[in-house]
Amino acid sequence: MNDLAIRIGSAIVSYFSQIELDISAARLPAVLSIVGVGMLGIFTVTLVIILISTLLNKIGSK
Amino acid sequence: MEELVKYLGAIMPQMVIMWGIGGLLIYLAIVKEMEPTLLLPMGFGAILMNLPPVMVDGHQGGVYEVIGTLFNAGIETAELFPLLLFIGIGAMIDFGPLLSNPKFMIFGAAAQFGIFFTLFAASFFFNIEEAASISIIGAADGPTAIYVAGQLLPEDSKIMGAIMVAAYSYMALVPLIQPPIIRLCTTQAERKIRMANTGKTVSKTTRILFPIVVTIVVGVVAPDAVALIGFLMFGNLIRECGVLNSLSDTAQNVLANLITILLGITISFQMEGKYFLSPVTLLIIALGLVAFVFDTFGGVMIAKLMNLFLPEGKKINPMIGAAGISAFPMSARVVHKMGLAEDNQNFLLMHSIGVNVSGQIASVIAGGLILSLCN
Repeated sequence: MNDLAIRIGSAIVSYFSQIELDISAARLPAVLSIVGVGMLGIFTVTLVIILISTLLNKIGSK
Repeated sequence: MEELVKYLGAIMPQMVIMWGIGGLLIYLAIVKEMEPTLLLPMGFGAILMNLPPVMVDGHQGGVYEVIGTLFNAGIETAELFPLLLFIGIGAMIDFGPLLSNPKFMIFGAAAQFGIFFTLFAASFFFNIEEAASISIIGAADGPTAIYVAGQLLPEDSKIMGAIMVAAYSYMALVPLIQPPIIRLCTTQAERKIRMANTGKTVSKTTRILFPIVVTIVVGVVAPDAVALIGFLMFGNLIRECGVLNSLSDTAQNVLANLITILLGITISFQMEGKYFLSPVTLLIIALGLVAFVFDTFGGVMIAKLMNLFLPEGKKINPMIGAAGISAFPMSARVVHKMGLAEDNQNFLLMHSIGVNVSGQIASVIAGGLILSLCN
């Protein structure tokens, strides 16, 4: 039973050890900038669309 | 006999596993009715792509070549399939509920939080272009995910298939993913908040001007999103103009169905077992779930934040914020059903549909911003 558990465990470990990822925190400043500007950008565009929609509703109701 | 043995001998264990995955997708599509229009072609395509290869003049021919040609023409070269599908989606969407209450757009924006959170999380494991392509699973919108990933990933990237499968599978799983997150973020009293219908009607002029003006605004602010938003709004203009009913009908039905058939089977080009069955796929699928969870969280939390400033009687049921995730119209239905489960007289459908439609626009804008910032 222990042998089986060890075999399964080592199979899982060897499967995930194939992973070739570019693990790094060096990209953090660039990523934080994208996240910050992206969230700010989406809220800005959204606010502009809200204003335009409100304006269009006023134009349309006349 | 020799030929038969040759092809039998070419069957690899990964192929058999992919037949199982293909079968599972077909099962989910038919028996569980989860996004059947896409999961069924993808499932069948996964089986097709994992049959013993047919070599023609030293390169892989047969069905591989056919689906590869579709992939190159419809996705790789100019992302034609997702863009054409957007015309159909635009023709299907009624922006009326959103236009009658434009402030709901804010929930659509907030519910894109999962995209940016996942970009941050994925950047610890992947380069920025790959992380951004994975994060766009959180757009909860297949064509946007394909378009953005197709633009950002290099031609030889092997993670496209995992991104597509995750994007469409999680869209199908919205009714399972969202309710526990919504319950976790809200109190029972909040879930019982009733919202009056605005009763506002939207004029035809407004409906016609909206797609035109939004295209111009997005084109100026986020030019990388203009292809997506432009095709979406073109489809909507065909619907709303009132003089192109047969074109609108064709876009909503024939065009959308035709592209969906081709898109589903074309995506499977990226589902070859030797690339798909990797631990990276599992990591991408896990990150996709993170994106959906934080999208829901973002939408609900902004509604709760707004409630802090709204007077009693004008408060918003925070559950509708969760519908800002683009998955249209599943997310709106989930919120509506949850509202009815708490109070059988609480009808949130019109509000949640408005928010859901805003999520469709916001996810496209988010995709465009990601493209602008990562290119």
